Amino acid sequence: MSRNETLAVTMQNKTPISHDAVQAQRLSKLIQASQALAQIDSLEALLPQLLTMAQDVMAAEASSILLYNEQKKVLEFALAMNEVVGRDEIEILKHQIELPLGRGIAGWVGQHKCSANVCDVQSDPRFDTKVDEALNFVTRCLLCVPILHKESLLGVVQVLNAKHKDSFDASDQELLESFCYLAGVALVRSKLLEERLLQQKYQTQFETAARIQSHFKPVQPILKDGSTIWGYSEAAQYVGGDLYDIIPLEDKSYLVYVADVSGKGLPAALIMVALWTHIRSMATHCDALNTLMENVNQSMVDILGKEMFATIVMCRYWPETGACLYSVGGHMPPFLVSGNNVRQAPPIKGYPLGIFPNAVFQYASVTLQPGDSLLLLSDGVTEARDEHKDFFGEANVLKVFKAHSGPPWGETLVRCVQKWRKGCSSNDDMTVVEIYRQKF
Amino acid sequence: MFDRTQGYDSWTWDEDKTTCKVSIGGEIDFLGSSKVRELFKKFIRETQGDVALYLDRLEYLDSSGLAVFIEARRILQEQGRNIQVLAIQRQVLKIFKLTHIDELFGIV
Repeated sequence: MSRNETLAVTMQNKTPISHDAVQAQRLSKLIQASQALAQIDSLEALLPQLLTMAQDVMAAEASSILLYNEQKKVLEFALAMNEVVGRDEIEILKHQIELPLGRGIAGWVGQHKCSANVCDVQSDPRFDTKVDEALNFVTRCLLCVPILHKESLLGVVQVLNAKHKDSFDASDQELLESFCYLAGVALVRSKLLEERLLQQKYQTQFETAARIQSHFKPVQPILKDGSTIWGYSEAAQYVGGDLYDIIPLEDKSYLVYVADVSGKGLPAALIMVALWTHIRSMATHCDALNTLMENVNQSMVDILGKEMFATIVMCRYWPETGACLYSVGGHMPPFLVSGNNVRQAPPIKGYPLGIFPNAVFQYASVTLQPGDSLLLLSDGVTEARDEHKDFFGEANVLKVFKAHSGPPWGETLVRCVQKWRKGCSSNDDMTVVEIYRQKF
Repeated sequence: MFDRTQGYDSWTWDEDKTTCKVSIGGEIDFLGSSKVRELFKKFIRETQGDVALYLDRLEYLDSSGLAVFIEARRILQEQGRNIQVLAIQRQVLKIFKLTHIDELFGIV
């Protein structure tokens, strides 16, 4: 027998008991509740504990907790306990009944954010018989108290049918109100903790995705005589839509490209993976660069769902001769650094991938002399912003290349862009690829 | 000129359904583009005829924002309608030109 039941029986037997003793027992219950609630972290564990305590402390036949759904503006049964009706009926409550604010006594309590202690429920005009009918239960008396946090409604707790007396009294109400105050704090805390846990879960998933995405970075080939093909890519968020690849082909040439999927984060990263796969699978079957671009475009039209696109600059480079063909799909043409002479390769027409089925692409050629570098960039370089929100811009790209007489220009550019951002969070994914032909 | 204005964190949307005009200002990036997409689709649903797009107050547009305009153009074309950019800032024009999308929007 619980301490409360002992107290109630004592009261029923009309054994004299001092007011102080009653208050002491109630205070003890409240302290117990406070200690228990402080140790519970999840909403799932909190609700049964809350209700068990409320029902126990109040010596009620039944109790329920309804949480306020802010979006729907209704109170929803989160949990109900009833010593009289079975579990099936309780399930009906949880899944089929919701109370708009103002409906029923609980709805009235939620609407007015004040308690209701009703001695004769059946004759109360606010009473909604729907719940009693669904449960085949008769509510005689009821005490319903709002759970508030900083004046915001979180829910209501109601206890029904006092076991050892006709109705709940003022001290019951006072106790349940104190109890609901604790419950409000516990509810807010558990919601915050759950949100934090969810956030941690997402963070772990993003970190895993970032790790997986890093595996798409190609192996940088070892070329003769110190020539290099080097690449660097960093995502603005955990994962990004920038992509570069270096694919060795049978004739000892390399297919090198930088692509940029519109948008950022996971959607762009998913498209990036599809693009990487399509280009890898098609690269060995297409001899002509423009045909490869057309085939890749065709395959990406459906995948990109007409909501996104990808820009690309693609090169086919023969290290032996320095010959290089390039094709562009809505992307910045490559930069050619040749001694002090720095220039952008002539632009050639080509729409971004994934917009127009049957789009036609062109290609042009440049030749890397010994000591030359060809640099492919994504717009994360030119659109990197400093603390005043100024862009790094193409002029600074040219300035960096001109200011440094030797390679590696790509690594130098990355450092300069990072310095430009000066600790500002990166606003776009950034990719730099450098094809360098060693001097004899 | 425009009968409805909406302001967001970094950008604004003005529209006039009667004359089928839209003006977008501020900066459109990944965070704003989904709302622009939603507003554009609603505007297309609720209007008839060709759309005049004013971008003279648009200071920055990233690729996700450009994707919204391309999608809007596609939807309009499926309905036999056109879209034309009537005013544009230099920085934004650069993105249109770089991607060769300028000619699709009648930018000369």
